[in-house]
Amino acid sequence: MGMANLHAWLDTGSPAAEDDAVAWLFRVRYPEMVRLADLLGADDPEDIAQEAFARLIRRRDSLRNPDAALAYVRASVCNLTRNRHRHLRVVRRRTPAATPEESSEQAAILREDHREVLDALAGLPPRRREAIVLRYWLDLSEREIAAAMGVSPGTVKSNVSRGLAVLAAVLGEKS
Amino acid sequence: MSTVEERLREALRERASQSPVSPDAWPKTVARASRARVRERRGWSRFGIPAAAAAAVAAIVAGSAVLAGGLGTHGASSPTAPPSATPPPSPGPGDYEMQSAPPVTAVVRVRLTVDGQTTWTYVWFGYLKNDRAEGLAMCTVTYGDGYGGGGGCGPQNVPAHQVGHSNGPYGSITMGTSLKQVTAVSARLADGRTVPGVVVSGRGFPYKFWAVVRPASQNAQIIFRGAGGAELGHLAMAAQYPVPPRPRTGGIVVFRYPAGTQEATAGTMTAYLLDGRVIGSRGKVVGFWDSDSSSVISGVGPSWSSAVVSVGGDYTQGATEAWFYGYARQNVARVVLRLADGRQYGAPTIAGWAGSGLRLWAFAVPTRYLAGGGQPHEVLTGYDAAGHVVAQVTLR
Repeated sequence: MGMANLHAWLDTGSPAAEDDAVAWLFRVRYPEMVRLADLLGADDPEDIAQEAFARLIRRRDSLRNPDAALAYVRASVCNLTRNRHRHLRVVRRRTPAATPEESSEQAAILREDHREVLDALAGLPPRRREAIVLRYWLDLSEREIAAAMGVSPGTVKSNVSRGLAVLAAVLGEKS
Repeated sequence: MSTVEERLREALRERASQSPVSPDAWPKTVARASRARVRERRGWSRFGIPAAAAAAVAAIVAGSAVLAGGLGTHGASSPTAPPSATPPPSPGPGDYEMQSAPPVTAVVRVRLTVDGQTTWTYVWFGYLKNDRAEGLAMCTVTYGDGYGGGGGCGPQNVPAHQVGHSNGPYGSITMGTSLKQVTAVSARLADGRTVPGVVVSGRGFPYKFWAVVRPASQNAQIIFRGAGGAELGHLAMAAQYPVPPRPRTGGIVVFRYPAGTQEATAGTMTAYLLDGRVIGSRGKVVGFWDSDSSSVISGVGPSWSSAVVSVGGDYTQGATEAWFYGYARQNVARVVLRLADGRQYGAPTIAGWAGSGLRLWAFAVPTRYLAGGGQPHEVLTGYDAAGHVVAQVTLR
């Protein structure tokens, strides 16, 4: 069972417990957040995930509802990655050679058909890519995806279906 | 599921398993948060306030809206907030939300009472710096009663043919936007009670802002009224479930962990079989509580698609062992984890609760073989008593 399907809580009755709760959430969810940033195309996924958790630590009082804390971190990862893309677009315009590329090791490891899918995914607009990754990797509900992306569930639905349609077209399949 | 969806899932899973995760991330993150806190505390005095933000902050409507007598988390009536309660400073330019969407409207301060404690929510609208195309986003930052400056920014457009909108509750406070003809808001609770809310506007607001303090554990309808008290529309809000208490009986000790593994101190991990309704789920759920009363709860009923379910596998920084644990169907006699390098760790399952059809399992794995936490393709296999594979799950 994936971590995304877990419901996890902590009692957070004291400041010390809140500290523990953040540390616990970090321990359980940090790899997932790194991977989320990676799948969203961040050039430095760990930096994104650490910044997201650092922001949570600064607001750890809001961990009264740990589910909200996880949603906060997830949304931060999405926002920060989007920010980073914007920054990179500017950098690339100025220095074309700075385009980040997948390492040769990763390139060798990925199966060819998976690479094809991921290349097609990378070609989607950021919002559609986010919706697809949150839906098909983290298995989030439309409501949870909406919270992570800061959009309505209806927007999530249209982003997912349009994204799938584009992927199907690119991959030469029916969605 | 279509072929594209299946291919997507596989490709994402494989790609994700290759993301490296460094082992010293936690201290780095704590250090980063500390640096950020120092910057934030100094923010107002050291850095100039951007002109737009300064103008907006100056336009804060002090005490523009007061709501008292709402319901707290536990549903008890709360007294009126002490009149002497002083509002915290409004979010500054160093604040995350202010940076995400600098205000282009007034910043309105809303006072609410939660469990007898005063909370202050600052509300404004602005364009998301990272996504201006989304249009005006509503930002809120709430202080007091444990909210500690939490909040966020995001589009809160009222959909066509609706009167109001909400992205859901934030603790005991449910907030959102409504059309301008709304003059009053209230929450009609599942138990029949009605809780009044507050509706405010500010210079430049595209919508009105509303908030209701209500127990998030109950289904509710948010009722919007216009001039003369006529109901203009409503929003259905589903219940959010609180942390279930640790049961007093029925626990099965799954494993005992030494200090510095599962937690900093030694303890036991105990499993309980719970009624799924405690988390709004159907059927039964399994909850694991360690000695610190940290809990992990996993659905069993309709969502249980695999014969072996892992709910653990995390470990503290510097620990030499990581505990993997979970539950399995009745016919699973042994659970084995195969790491990417071929090493295998496992243990026989132990009996679960009588009549539950469940067994429990746990074993420790040296963390040196899980270096970085990003180990790809850890495969968990359940075997029956004859040694046949019953289930296989790839962990991430």
